[in-house]
Amino acid sequence: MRNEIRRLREEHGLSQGSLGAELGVSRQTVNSLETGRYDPSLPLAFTIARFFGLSIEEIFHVD
Amino acid sequence: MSTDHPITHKSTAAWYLGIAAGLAVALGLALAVGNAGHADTAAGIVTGGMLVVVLAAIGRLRSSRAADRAGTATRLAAGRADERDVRVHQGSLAIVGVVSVILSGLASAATFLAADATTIVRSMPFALLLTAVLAFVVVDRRS
Repeated sequence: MRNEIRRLREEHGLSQGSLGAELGVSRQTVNSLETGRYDPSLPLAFTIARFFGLSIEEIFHVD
Repeated sequence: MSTDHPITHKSTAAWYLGIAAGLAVALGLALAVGNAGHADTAAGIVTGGMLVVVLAAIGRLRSSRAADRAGTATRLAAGRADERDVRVHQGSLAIVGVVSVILSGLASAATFLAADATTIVRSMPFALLLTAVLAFVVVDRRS
């Protein structure tokens, strides 16, 4: 599954660590999400969408 | 979605309880083995148990002081795992489960081929521990 997390994070001027702190996950988890190696749970996907003020569909795309 | 706690932090009390339970099992096992006349093995069990406790304590300290540099295993040992850490843990345990079924089948077959059953049984935990470590590393790197 592709996602827009890296682009959104950079637009917000956040590091992986600080985004992880905002979302309540580790920096490694943010990195894995950005590289597409890890698909988040539904609660985490909602948290990410809420943080960026977007819908889940605007952030995550099925390949 | 019925939870507002996506992070799976264990409470401090739960972490201490887990450590105490692990220590009690190790000491109880060591006592039983020692009373059966295997003092060296009992000492090994105590040493191994204490080593696990020390590593978990270091992991907890490291994950609170240098959270950014703490790895998956460190956060898990510290009881501060997030959802990806838990998934890595579960994935590696699933591999260990499959391997244990295969290994126990092979071990059972080996006893019919005149292999020493005691050696097989005693080597099984080490084989599964090695499997767990390898599986954890692979799953962690891939997720």
